Amino acid sequence: MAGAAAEPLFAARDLVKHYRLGRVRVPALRGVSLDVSAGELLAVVGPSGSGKTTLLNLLGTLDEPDGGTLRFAGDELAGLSDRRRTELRRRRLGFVFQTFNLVPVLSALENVEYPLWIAGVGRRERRRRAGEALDAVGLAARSRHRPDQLSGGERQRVALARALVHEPAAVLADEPTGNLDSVTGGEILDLLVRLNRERGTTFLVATHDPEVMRRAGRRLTLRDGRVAADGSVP
Amino acid sequence: MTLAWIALRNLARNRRRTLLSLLVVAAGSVGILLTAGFITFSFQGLAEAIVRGGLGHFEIVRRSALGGSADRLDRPIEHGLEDWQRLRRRVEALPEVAAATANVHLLGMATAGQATASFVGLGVEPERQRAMGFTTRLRAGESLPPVPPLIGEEVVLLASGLADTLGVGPGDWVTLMAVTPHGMLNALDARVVGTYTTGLQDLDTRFLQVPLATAQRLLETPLVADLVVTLEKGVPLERGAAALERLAAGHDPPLAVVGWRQRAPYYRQVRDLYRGIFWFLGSVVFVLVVLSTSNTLLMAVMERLRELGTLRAIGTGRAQLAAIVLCEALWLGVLGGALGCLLGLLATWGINALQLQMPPPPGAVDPIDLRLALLPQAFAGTVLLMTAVLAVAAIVPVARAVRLRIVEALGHV
Amino acid sequence: MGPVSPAAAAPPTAADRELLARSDVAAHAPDAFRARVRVRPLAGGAARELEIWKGEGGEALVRLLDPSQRGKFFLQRPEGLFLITPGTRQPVRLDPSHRLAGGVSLQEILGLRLGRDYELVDVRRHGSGAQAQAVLALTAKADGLPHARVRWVVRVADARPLRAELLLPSGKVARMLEFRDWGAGSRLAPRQLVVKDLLRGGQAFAVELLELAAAEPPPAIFALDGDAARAALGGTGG
Repeated sequence: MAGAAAEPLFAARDLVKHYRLGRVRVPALRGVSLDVSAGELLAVVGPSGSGKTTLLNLLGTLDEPDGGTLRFAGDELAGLSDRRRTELRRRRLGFVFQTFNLVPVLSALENVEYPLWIAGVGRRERRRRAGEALDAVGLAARSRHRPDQLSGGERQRVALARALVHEPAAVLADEPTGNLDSVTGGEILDLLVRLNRERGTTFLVATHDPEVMRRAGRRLTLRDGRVAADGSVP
Repeated sequence: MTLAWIALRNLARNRRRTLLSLLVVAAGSVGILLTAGFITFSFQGLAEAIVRGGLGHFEIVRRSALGGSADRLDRPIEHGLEDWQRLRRRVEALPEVAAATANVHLLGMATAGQATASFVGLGVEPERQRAMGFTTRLRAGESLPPVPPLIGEEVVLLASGLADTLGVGPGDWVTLMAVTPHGMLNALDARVVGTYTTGLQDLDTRFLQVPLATAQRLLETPLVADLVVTLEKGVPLERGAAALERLAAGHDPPLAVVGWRQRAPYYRQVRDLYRGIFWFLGSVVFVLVVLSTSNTLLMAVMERLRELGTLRAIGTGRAQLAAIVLCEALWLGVLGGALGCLLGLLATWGINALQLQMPPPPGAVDPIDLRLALLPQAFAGTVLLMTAVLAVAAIVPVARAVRLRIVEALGHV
Repeated sequence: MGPVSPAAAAPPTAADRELLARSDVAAHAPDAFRARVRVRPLAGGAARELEIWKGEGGEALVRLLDPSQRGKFFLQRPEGLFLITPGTRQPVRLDPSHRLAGGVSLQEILGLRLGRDYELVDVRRHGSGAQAQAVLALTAKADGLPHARVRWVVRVADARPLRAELLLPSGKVARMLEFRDWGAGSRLAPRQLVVKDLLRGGQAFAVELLELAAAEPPPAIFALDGDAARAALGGTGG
């Protein structure tokens, strides 16, 4: 709930981003402003090329805007060094991708352990927390399996566990159900909604999926790099 | 879950490519090991031949004989040792010393009938030399007799080329002429007891050996040019040198102790040549291994660009990413080097077992055994070296990984 | 006094030839003689005494008087120079210009046979009065002599030779003989001469003629197998 008193988790004003396609400069975002409060489940929707992924990349500090301002938890992101941004992602953000993006040589448990490993957490505690995260997504029994031994839905659950194991403030998911059938996608969505409700983790989900649109608390529609609509889902 | 273990698992992703890289590294290692083994064996053999050929480990001379230059090789008898028998007793009393023998250096003309030739010669103590393990490679006849000859019964051992020039063989007589240290000319008839080879064609046309007494009579002097000293087995050269220096200190007239390496410029030249060849070969191996493995490592990085981008996205620092890629390279170096050591060991045993011979090098007389020395430090060194080489090969792939743009990498297929 | 840079050279006159004949030292020596000579390096070192026997036929025998060199002889015969030592059964042939006793050749001791072996080519005269000198340039008549060219410097007043410069074919001075002192009497006999090697570091030797007397050498001493006759010499003179 965006109250005037509480600082929004993400505060963006007039974000602009261009990409180079050969010699041509393609505008991806042409001035996007929004506030995202802690605990929200926000669906970012729009046709292909509307700038959904770009917006998520900017909010997730994976890229830098060409114009506009961006604040996370009250801190200005512009001008942050790569080291600070990396640290920010490591401690406070989680990512889920359409193509799952798990490390193929690591088991499910090790994949989930990874963010704790790079944060320097000790082995025992790492194992415990990763085990709990896998349990929370219902995959405790498959912890030793490698990604190539898991189904698409199972892999995405592992990715979800990985995104949450370090208790981030927000998880950015780009088309999390894009590579899954409707049944499996529905299961993932259920998981998302449940985790958002139980833990209060903020979720920003870029999606085409109408089910996600329907079950999100708020929907931001982008068209041609601009905000076309932004409001609660009835 | 450790960096090293993850790196190893990453290497196992593409077994064939990893195996190929390991073989490249192993092949480079084998090349270096066999070359080092061959060169070391050659040096050891050469050093042994030089020491046993009469140079001994050390030489004791009057300091004035060196004329201020330690590289000076001639030993004019005017600067010879006077009370040399007593000095020798003191030298041989040292525990580090096996034995010492006296030499006189000669220069002069040899004639037989109408034939004349200049010679470079040595007056030696044959029995002592044999006891010290100094070998003379006879070609005909006998070596010098153990007992010093009486006046008028001089004998000489000619190098084979000199004997040919003079047209003489065992049993014939030659006249040796030399200038004494007092500037007088003197000549002696000597009977040829045998002919020998120095191992080098050029020297075979000039060299001869006579008993020490004969040389002293020819030069009309009781002096000797030097004492040649061999050390007991297992005594390091430094310890022997220190002991001899202590003995020589305070001697009047002043003495100098000269190591065999200083008296064998040929050895230094060969050693420098071989070192140059070894470094050249090493550089070639280095370049080949780096180019080959660098390319492979870069391919591995490019294929995993999306994965690496993901790792960066979820909070992996640049340095951590570099460490992951570097670790894979180092594993290739360690494992490839170890494999190379194993293959190198087998190859060394195999080649030595075959007992091959190589033709004589230019100017030499006898063929050389093809043997390789086994050096534990070379094996350890090769593994370390290959690891370092792979670290260099990893420079470009690591740079590529570290410089990736996250968004681009994520979009990489 | 070093080599003289000559004034203008002139073809030899009869007076020049007479000067040469009068100063030809070796020609004035007895045909057969016995001499005793001391050779000493000017730079320091032991002096050596030699006994020299010269025969009418031109042969010469040098006996080394040093007790350590007993039994060692140099024998000059028409066919060459030989070394005879106790350690060798046969005489050993040497190069004719071999330096006995390290410094001086036999020829330098016996003197060059200028009139016999050399041709007078030209003469340079300089100085005047008592100091007048003539530099006689001589060339060997035949090959095989140790020195192909000689410059013979003579004091005109008394036809005393001052200096002999022994040249290489190129004209460079290889050796120099300086006549330092003369014996008394009418016969031209140098008492002391200094021999210098100018090619290799300038070593110089003083040669002193201690005795010179006409004598009949026992003929067998000049024979290659004349060891017995030579051994008998040890009891005479020396």
